[in-house]
Amino acid sequence: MLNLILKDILIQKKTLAFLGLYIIIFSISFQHTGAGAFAAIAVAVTYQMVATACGHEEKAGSDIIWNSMPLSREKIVLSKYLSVFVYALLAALGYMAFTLLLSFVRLPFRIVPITMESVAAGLIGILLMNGIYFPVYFKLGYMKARVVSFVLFFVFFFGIMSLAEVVSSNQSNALLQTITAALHGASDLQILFVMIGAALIFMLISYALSVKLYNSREF
Amino acid sequence: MENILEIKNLRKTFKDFTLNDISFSLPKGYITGFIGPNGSGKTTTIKLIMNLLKKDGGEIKVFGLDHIRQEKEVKNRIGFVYDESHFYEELTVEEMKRIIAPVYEKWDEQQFQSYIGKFALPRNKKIKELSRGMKVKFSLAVALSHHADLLIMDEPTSGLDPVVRSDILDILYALIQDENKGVFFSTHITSDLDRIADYIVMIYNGEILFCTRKDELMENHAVVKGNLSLLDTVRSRNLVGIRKSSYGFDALSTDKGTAAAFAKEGAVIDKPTLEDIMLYYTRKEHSHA
Amino acid sequence: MNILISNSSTQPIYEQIADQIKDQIMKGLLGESEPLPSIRSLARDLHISVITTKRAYDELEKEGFIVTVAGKGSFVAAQNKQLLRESRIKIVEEKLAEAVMAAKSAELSFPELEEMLRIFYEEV
Repeated sequence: MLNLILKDILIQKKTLAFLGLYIIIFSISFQHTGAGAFAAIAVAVTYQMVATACGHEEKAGSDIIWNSMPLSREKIVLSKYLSVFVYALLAALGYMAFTLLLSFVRLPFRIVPITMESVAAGLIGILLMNGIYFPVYFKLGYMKARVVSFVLFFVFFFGIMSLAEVVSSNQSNALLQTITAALHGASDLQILFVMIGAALIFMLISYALSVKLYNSREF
Repeated sequence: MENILEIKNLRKTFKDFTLNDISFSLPKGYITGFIGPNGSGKTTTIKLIMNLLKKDGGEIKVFGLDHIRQEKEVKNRIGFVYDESHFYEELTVEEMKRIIAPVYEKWDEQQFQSYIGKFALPRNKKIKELSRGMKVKFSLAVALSHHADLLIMDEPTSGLDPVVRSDILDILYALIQDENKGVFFSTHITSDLDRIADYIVMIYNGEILFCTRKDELMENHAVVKGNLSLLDTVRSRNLVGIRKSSYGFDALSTDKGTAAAFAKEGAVIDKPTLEDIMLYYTRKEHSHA
Repeated sequence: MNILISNSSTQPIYEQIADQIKDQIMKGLLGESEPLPSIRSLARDLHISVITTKRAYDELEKEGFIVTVAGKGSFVAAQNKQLLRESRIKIVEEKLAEAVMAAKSAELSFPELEEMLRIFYEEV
């Protein structure tokens, strides 16, 4: 199955080059936004990579090849889900590399360094976004799922950013205080883990659904 | 003789086409041609065997194994070549191999390299830069590099020049030296099968017209051309695809006796090609004899 | 072993092969116990189907010209020279009978037929 994830990377070699540019441009534009920066970038990067990978599958009609091979549909679906983590990792590495680069070179801007919160927020955003997208993709195919993917991207990209903003700047917000009270006693880290855990469970359910939908597909 | 492929009462219904309870069996060690005009159900049948389409009913056994219950084992032993390259155009031959090879249990890298060499396939060229013939040869190299026992080909030679087609046939001849392998070759370019095929299965409008040994098929059939008057005097019961013109009629006789009877009356009798057989049988529906 | 197949001949391919092999055996070009190519390699070399070569070999085996040993292949059978001569004589008898019938229907007399036979025997 590693070969399938490798495949998803190999077919978008060109995109990887753009990614570098993406990260640079986005991080510079978001330098004043605070914590939301990396999370939004992570969402953007994975969105782009998932879309490109799925687009290539559709273009080649590769479902026919993979399903003619001794490869279970579960594995085919799983590789797409796992590749999301790889993309997130690439985004993080790219961002950190850029941050490192900037610390050596004196340039007239600073970008927000990566933080645990932004990574977590990014991860949650990615998991939720793709968790919703993949069942649609596996059911309807890339072309029909494109609209959904686009809408999802906007919602999550701007949503994550604004959510991060709201959380970090509106500490006195009533709703937030209620939530904070409810999570009374739990440390920030614990809250983070719970949220990631929930997102992962969501992803798992999404995976099961995708498998079911893909299993009944015909080519 | 064991059967490498067994299809019983296979059924699949689409909006405007139905594969109607088809059945046929193929023995191992031979090359079987699957012929029929476009739209008859050849690709549908192959997709059903590969479980790319879900059958509505019936049984498919490959190597004696159920094609769904033992899907993985079956697919490990099948090599396939389809009419269009479904590989990623942006990847090179080598990269494509790297992602396919791990899927097969018995991938034989040495065999693959030897085929690549034999076909003169440039390893580091992108798939999209390969000619159509090279793409088919690449598919074939992959299909033959994991010790597959059954090679299924769906219209692999359409659009290829005679030289490449001949190369492909040579590979099939080499493959069939092993009596445990089999080839299932679907095509509407029947000239490729005229010599090499051992068995012929013909499908038309979702029904199997016949599944017989090619030599028997050719011997029992003949192209008959004669005067229109003969159609009344000699029994035309075993003629199919009768076409009449002001010069006479031509038809396919399905029985040696009928052909002989016509010959006695002065009709011209010719050996048929598979293409003739396919044409006359499918003309059956339109003749107003 | 030379085998040449004609596509345009009315004779089925398996018969052409069998006849040519038979011929070579009878002429002594293929010796006793000499191995024959496998049906599959023969099919490949002649570019015909395996079933066709199999049929040719089955025919040859039925008529006693070759022997097939499972797992080893096919070999030229020991030829009974007497039987061979007898079967060839039989062919001459058949052809003579045909010639006589044709002669009678063309109203040739026996002396005329005899004369023709002598000319042919000396020339061919």
